[in-house]
Amino acid sequence: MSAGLHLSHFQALLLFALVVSVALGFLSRREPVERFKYIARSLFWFLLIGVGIGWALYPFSR
Amino acid sequence: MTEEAIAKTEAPPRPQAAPWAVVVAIAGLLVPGLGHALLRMWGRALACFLSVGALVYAGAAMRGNVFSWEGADAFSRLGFVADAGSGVFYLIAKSLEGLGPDVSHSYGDYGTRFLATAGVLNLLAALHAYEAARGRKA
Repeated sequence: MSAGLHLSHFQALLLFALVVSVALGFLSRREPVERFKYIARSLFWFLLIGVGIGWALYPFSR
Repeated sequence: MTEEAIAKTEAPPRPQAAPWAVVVAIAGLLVPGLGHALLRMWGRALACFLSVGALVYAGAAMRGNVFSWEGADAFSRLGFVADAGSGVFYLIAKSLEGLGPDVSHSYGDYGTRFLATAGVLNLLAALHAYEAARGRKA
Protein backbone atom coordinates (compact mmCIF):
# COMPACT_ATOMS: atom_id res chain seq x y z
CA MET A 1 0.00 0.00 0.00
CA SER A 2 3.06 2.23 0.06
CA ALA A 3 2.65 3.26 -3.62
CA GLY A 4 -0.75 4.74 -2.94
CA LEU A 5 -3.67 5.48 -5.20
CA HIS A 6 -3.53 9.01 -6.61
CA LEU A 7 -6.84 9.73 -8.27
CA SER A 8 -7.86 13.02 -9.85
CA HIS A 9 -11.00 14.80 -8.63
CA PHE A 10 -13.08 13.38 -11.47
CA GLN A 11 -11.69 9.85 -11.12
CA ALA A 12 -12.52 9.89 -7.40
CA LEU A 13 -16.03 11.17 -8.17
CA LEU A 14 -16.51 8.47 -10.81
CA LEU A 15 -15.32 5.66 -8.52
CA PHE A 16 -17.44 6.90 -5.61
CA ALA A 17 -20.55 7.37 -7.77
CA LEU A 18 -20.20 3.96 -9.42
CA VAL A 19 -19.68 1.97 -6.22
CA VAL A 20 -22.42 3.73 -4.24
CA SER A 21 -24.87 3.50 -7.14
CA VAL A 22 -24.29 -0.24 -7.50
CA ALA A 23 -24.69 -0.83 -3.75
CA LEU A 24 -27.88 1.24 -3.49
CA GLY A 25 -29.25 -0.31 -6.68
CA PHE A 26 -28.83 -3.83 -5.34
CA LEU A 27 -30.27 -2.92 -1.94
CA SER A 28 -33.30 -1.00 -3.14
CA ARG A 29 -34.39 -2.99 -6.20
CA ARG A 30 -35.03 -6.72 -6.57
CA GLU A 31 -35.52 -7.13 -10.30
CA PRO A 32 -32.34 -7.08 -12.48
CA VAL A 33 -33.74 -4.67 -15.07
CA GLU A 34 -34.98 -2.32 -12.37
CA ARG A 35 -31.59 -2.53 -10.66
CA PHE A 36 -29.79 -1.61 -13.88
CA LYS A 37 -32.13 1.34 -14.46
CA TYR A 38 -31.67 2.55 -10.88
CA ILE A 39 -27.86 2.24 -11.09
CA ALA A 40 -27.72 4.09 -14.43
CA ARG A 41 -30.04 6.87 -13.19
CA SER A 42 -28.20 7.22 -9.87
CA LEU A 43 -24.79 7.31 -11.58
CA PHE A 44 -26.01 9.95 -14.02
CA TRP A 45 -27.32 12.22 -11.24
CA PHE A 46 -24.22 11.73 -9.10
CA LEU A 47 -21.99 12.81 -11.98
CA LEU A 48 -24.23 15.64 -13.16
CA ILE A 49 -24.63 17.15 -9.69
CA GLY A 50 -20.96 16.61 -8.81
CA VAL A 51 -19.68 18.28 -11.98
CA GLY A 52 -22.38 20.96 -11.66
CA ILE A 53 -21.32 21.86 -8.12
CA GLY A 54 -17.70 21.87 -9.29
CA TRP A 55 -18.46 24.41 -11.99
CA ALA A 56 -20.70 26.45 -9.64
CA LEU A 57 -17.75 26.82 -7.24
CA TYR A 58 -15.27 27.65 -10.02
CA PRO A 59 -15.61 31.48 -9.68
CA PHE A 60 -14.66 31.23 -5.98
CA SER A 61 -11.54 29.12 -6.56
CA ARG A 62 -9.29 32.04 -7.47
CA MET B 1 -42.45 -8.67 -15.20
CA THR B 2 -44.54 -11.57 -13.89
CA GLU B 3 -44.53 -12.76 -10.30
CA GLU B 4 -42.85 -16.00 -11.41
CA ALA B 5 -40.02 -14.13 -13.08
CA ILE B 6 -39.50 -11.93 -10.02
CA ALA B 7 -39.40 -15.02 -7.80
CA LYS B 8 -36.64 -16.46 -9.99
CA THR B 9 -34.37 -13.42 -9.56
CA GLU B 10 -34.29 -13.30 -5.77
CA ALA B 11 -37.02 -14.71 -3.59
CA PRO B 12 -38.12 -12.52 -0.68
CA PRO B 13 -37.25 -14.19 2.62
CA ARG B 14 -39.95 -15.47 4.90
CA PRO B 15 -40.51 -13.41 8.06
CA GLN B 16 -38.15 -14.58 10.81
CA ALA B 17 -38.25 -14.27 14.58
CA ALA B 18 -36.72 -11.14 16.12
CA PRO B 19 -33.65 -12.89 17.65
CA TRP B 20 -32.68 -14.38 14.30
CA ALA B 21 -33.12 -10.96 12.65
CA VAL B 22 -30.77 -9.46 15.24
CA VAL B 23 -28.21 -12.20 14.51
CA VAL B 24 -28.53 -11.41 10.79
CA ALA B 25 -28.01 -7.68 11.44
CA ILE B 26 -24.97 -8.25 13.67
CA ALA B 27 -23.47 -10.68 11.13
CA GLY B 28 -23.96 -8.07 8.42
CA LEU B 29 -22.32 -5.43 10.58
CA LEU B 30 -19.28 -7.59 11.30
CA VAL B 31 -18.78 -8.91 7.77
CA PRO B 32 -20.34 -6.84 4.96
CA GLY B 33 -22.83 -8.98 3.04
CA LEU B 34 -22.97 -11.81 5.56
CA GLY B 35 -26.40 -10.76 6.80
CA HIS B 36 -27.86 -11.02 3.32
CA ALA B 37 -25.95 -14.25 2.70
CA LEU B 38 -27.64 -15.80 5.75
CA LEU B 39 -30.96 -14.85 4.14
CA ARG B 40 -29.78 -16.43 0.86
CA MET B 41 -29.94 -13.07 -0.91
CA TRP B 42 -26.75 -13.80 -2.81
CA GLY B 43 -26.77 -10.86 -5.21
CA ARG B 44 -27.15 -8.33 -2.43
CA ALA B 45 -24.58 -10.12 -0.28
CA LEU B 46 -22.00 -10.00 -3.06
CA ALA B 47 -22.83 -6.39 -3.92
CA CYS B 48 -22.46 -5.29 -0.28
CA PHE B 49 -19.21 -7.17 0.18
CA LEU B 50 -17.63 -5.87 -3.02
CA SER B 51 -18.90 -2.29 -2.63
CA VAL B 52 -17.77 -1.88 0.96
CA GLY B 53 -14.51 -3.70 0.19
CA ALA B 54 -13.79 -1.50 -2.83
CA LEU B 55 -14.46 1.71 -0.90
CA VAL B 56 -12.29 0.63 2.03
CA TYR B 57 -9.46 -0.51 -0.24
CA ALA B 58 -9.58 2.70 -2.28
CA GLY B 59 -9.84 4.84 0.87
CA ALA B 60 -6.86 3.15 2.50
CA ALA B 61 -4.84 3.22 -0.74
CA MET B 62 -5.55 6.96 -1.06
CA ARG B 63 -4.14 7.34 2.46
CA GLY B 64 -7.39 8.44 4.01
CA ASN B 65 -7.69 8.94 7.75
CA VAL B 66 -8.81 5.77 9.56
CA PHE B 67 -10.18 7.16 12.81
CA SER B 68 -9.47 5.32 16.05
CA TRP B 69 -11.77 5.13 19.07
CA GLU B 70 -9.42 7.39 21.03
CA GLY B 71 -10.67 10.45 19.20
CA ALA B 72 -9.72 13.81 20.67
CA ASP B 73 -12.91 15.58 19.63
CA ALA B 74 -16.50 14.85 18.66
CA PHE B 75 -15.67 14.88 14.95
CA SER B 76 -13.03 12.18 15.40
CA ARG B 77 -15.39 10.03 17.45
CA LEU B 78 -18.09 10.45 14.81
CA GLY B 79 -15.52 9.50 12.17
CA PHE B 80 -14.69 6.38 14.16
CA VAL B 81 -18.37 5.38 14.31
CA ALA B 82 -18.64 5.80 10.54
CA ASP B 83 -15.38 3.93 9.85
CA ALA B 84 -16.14 1.11 12.31
CA GLY B 85 -19.42 0.48 10.49
CA SER B 86 -17.49 -1.45 7.86
CA GLY B 87 -16.81 -4.25 10.39
CA VAL B 88 -13.79 -6.42 9.66
CA PHE B 89 -12.84 -4.12 6.80
CA TYR B 90 -12.10 -1.45 9.40
CA LEU B 91 -9.41 -3.71 10.86
CA ILE B 92 -8.07 -4.40 7.37
CA ALA B 93 -7.95 -0.66 6.64
CA LYS B 94 -6.06 -0.15 9.90
CA SER B 95 -3.52 -2.77 8.90
CA LEU B 96 -3.17 -1.34 5.38
CA GLU B 97 -2.32 2.22 6.44
CA GLY B 98 1.39 1.56 6.76
CA LEU B 99 2.45 5.16 6.19
CA GLY B 100 -0.45 6.71 8.07
CA PRO B 101 -2.98 9.18 6.69
CA ASP B 102 -2.00 12.00 4.38
CA VAL B 103 -4.82 14.50 4.06
CA SER B 104 -2.52 17.24 2.81
CA HIS B 105 -3.47 16.13 -0.72
CA SER B 106 -6.94 15.96 -2.20
CA TYR B 107 -6.77 12.18 -2.66
CA GLY B 108 -6.06 11.68 1.04
CA ASP B 109 -9.08 13.77 1.91
CA TYR B 110 -11.19 11.79 -0.56
CA GLY B 111 -9.86 8.59 0.97
CA THR B 112 -11.18 9.67 4.37
CA ARG B 113 -14.64 10.16 2.84
CA PHE B 114 -14.44 6.79 1.05
CA LEU B 115 -13.72 5.02 4.34
CA ALA B 116 -16.59 6.77 6.11
CA THR B 117 -18.95 6.04 3.22
CA ALA B 118 -18.01 2.35 3.33
CA GLY B 119 -18.98 2.19 7.00
CA VAL B 120 -22.26 4.06 6.59
CA LEU B 121 -23.13 1.96 3.53
CA ASN B 122 -22.58 -1.21 5.56
CA LEU B 123 -24.74 0.15 8.40
CA LEU B 124 -27.48 0.71 5.83
CA ALA B 125 -26.99 -2.81 4.43
CA ALA B 126 -27.15 -4.36 7.92
CA LEU B 127 -30.37 -2.45 8.62
CA HIS B 128 -31.77 -3.67 5.29
CA ALA B 129 -30.84 -7.26 6.18
CA TYR B 130 -32.60 -6.88 9.55
CA GLU B 131 -35.74 -5.52 7.91
CA ALA B 132 -35.64 -8.28 5.28
CA ALA B 133 -35.29 -10.91 8.01
CA ARG B 134 -38.38 -9.49 9.71
CA GLY B 135 -40.22 -9.69 6.39
CA ARG B 136 -40.61 -5.94 6.06
CA LYS B 137 -38.30 -5.59 3.02
CA ALA B 138 -38.18 -7.69 -0.11
